[in-house]
Amino acid sequence: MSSPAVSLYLDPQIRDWVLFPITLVMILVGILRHYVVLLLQSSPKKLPKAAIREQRALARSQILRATSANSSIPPTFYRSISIHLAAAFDAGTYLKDGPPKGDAPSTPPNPMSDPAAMDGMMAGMKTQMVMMVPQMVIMGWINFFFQGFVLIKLPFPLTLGFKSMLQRGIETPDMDVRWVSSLSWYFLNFFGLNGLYRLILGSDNSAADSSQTMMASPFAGAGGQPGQPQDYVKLFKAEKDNLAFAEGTYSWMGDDVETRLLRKYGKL
Amino acid sequence: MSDPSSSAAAQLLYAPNVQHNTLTLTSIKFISSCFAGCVAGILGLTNLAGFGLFLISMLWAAFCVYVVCCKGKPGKYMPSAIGASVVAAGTGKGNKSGNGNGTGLMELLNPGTDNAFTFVLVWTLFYGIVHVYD
Repeated sequence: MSSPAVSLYLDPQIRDWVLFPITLVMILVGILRHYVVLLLQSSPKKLPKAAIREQRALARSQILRATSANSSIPPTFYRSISIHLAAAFDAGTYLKDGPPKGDAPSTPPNPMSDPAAMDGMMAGMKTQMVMMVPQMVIMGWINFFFQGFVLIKLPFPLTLGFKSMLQRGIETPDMDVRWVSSLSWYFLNFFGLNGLYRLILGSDNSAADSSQTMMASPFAGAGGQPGQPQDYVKLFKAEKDNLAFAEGTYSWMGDDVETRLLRKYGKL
Repeated sequence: MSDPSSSAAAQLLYAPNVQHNTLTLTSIKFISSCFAGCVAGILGLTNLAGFGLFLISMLWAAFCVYVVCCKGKPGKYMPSAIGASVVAAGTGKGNKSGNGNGTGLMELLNPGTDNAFTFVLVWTLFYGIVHVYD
């Protein structure tokens, strides 16, 4: 809301050789990053049969109890599947390493010693590096070549607190904060191009979420990789309880279907 | 099973279709925010007028999607946040109302931070090109 008195005249060369190149470079680097991440991703390893059986048993039980409130499975079959799964979970038939022996406390495997988990962590780190390095390089490039002049005027006012950040390298204390340097244009691009990446690269591209990962701690994503070892003994125990609960809420969608049908057509 | 229709509705959402709808909606919002940015920049709107244009254009886009794409029943095409969490958690006992009205409205109206930033970017770009340089 400043007075419209001051208006700078910017050289059109700045527009042609700074504004457009920065935008273009950022778009292209985003696309490049997407494909580099695709190349770096190692194909998922084949799991042994026992490990898949372990996961599938859990998934099967989850599907069964997710639909239990309005199940399409008739009561006899539901009960038999449920009882069979519960017994198998109890006995540990589907466990990767066979049923637990005795009552020795099961210790979760150390993720550092397991080579598979280590690979997952390395892949996460690589992805993070591919995210981080181009941003650093572009920022350095902009700082080196395009520092010290005003690039563009924001169409909305900002508070004076932004002045030191958005006008770094421009020593004019009285200038309106709306005139900003090329680094601010970089940040605008950085946050604004996510939607474009999503449009041209698909929804699960690796270019779009760069700003979110930048905002968070850069290596936070590496810890929660899917290769995290899980204690299936405990999971199976919990799943058994859940199955028992689900049996309480079970009801067949075909209950009283003949009455409902007759009532629907007004015969009752 | 106190309310059979609600739990049935929660299970009848097929996840890939919901995903596709959400993706389409995101694209529509992105494109509309881009065009809103262009219009705001070329018209030379500043300050609140520009953000007002963004708001109006997003509301208009949401209204168009509501009428044209969802045929007035957004709940049939996209789960509200609570419905999605129920489907994801797999409990199937959400309190999602199955009448198909008013459930998907939040998803239609929420422009998303990405699109807001995109709007600011395009707005600034066109404002700069048209009104600041020459």
